[in-house]
Amino acid sequence: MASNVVTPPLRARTSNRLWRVFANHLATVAAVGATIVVMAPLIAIFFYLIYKGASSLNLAFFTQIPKPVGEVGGGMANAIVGSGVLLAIASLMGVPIGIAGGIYIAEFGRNKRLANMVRFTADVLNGVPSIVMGIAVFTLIVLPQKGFSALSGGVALGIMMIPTITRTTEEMLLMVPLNVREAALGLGVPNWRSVLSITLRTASPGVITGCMLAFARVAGETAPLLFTAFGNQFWSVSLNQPIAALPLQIFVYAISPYDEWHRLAWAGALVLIVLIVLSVALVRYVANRGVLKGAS
Amino acid sequence: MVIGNRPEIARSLLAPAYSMASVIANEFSEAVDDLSRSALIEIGLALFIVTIIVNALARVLVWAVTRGAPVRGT
Repeated sequence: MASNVVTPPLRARTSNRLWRVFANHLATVAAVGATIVVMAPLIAIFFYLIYKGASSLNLAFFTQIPKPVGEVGGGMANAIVGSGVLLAIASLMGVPIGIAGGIYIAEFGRNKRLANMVRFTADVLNGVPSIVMGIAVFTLIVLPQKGFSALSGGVALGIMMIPTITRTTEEMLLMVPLNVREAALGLGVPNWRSVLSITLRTASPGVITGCMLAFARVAGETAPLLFTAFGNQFWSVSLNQPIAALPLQIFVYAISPYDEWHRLAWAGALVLIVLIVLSVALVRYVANRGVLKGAS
Repeated sequence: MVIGNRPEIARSLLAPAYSMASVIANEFSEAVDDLSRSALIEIGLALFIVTIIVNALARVLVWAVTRGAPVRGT
């Protein structure tokens, strides 16, 4: 500081300015670098999957069921359909319960003990390792039923969806300004109606994003399905029979000793990622259109 | 799974090891008698308790910070 006072003002200003320009560039480079570090794994994984898996993709992959070891060809049609069934069960269970829980915490249970407990439970549930979810559902559903089933797999995934959806719904509802609620109540709308058609409606883009996050997260889960859905080499859409799932099939094929199965596992991983991206994009698109239409 | 699944405690970070979750995943389908199944479920319980403790600590931390904030502000 003292030396600055001694040096001529103009010179001090330029050196100061140089330093600031330098610091600015440094910060920009650091930010860009961090962005690249964040994006690099995703891009690397995606291109490696395309490199390894795209050559194995053909029509048979989407239309045939797995062939026995030693035979070339075969596909994962049953696993793709099975994943769809499992995710449908999971969403049917996870989305309503998750959103209802979020509404309770944000709208009805403010500063109540129960709401705090629900929030804490959701946080704990969010951190429970997926394999623990698998054995929990195994003892709750598979053992009494005496058999692996699509239903138990769907329930395991559904339970995993709940905490993510609950917490994001809560955050999104809390972001809706109080004035909006007061306006609705001032018109004589009952509270439940105001929550459902005003607050939740306003927060719906965020809530949908939360649902899609939860969906994408459980779509790739293998561990909870190991002892619940179990996998199946044949066609099955029955809810109380073991069912194939894409991540499960990839897992089984990837740890197998056969090159042909490794090839299929790469292709399966590529298909899984593309399907998740497509379904998330589709829901986003439809939801955006719906919200815009509703607003105008 | 990429941890190597070797049931011993290695001194080196580069050596294969085992994690609680992968023990369950690998051995649960082979656990036929009640004892081994119970043991594996107990590993699950241990994992669950770890989750609860970590979350409780996080909650306590948040409480401590938010309770201290207004006092510091005034």
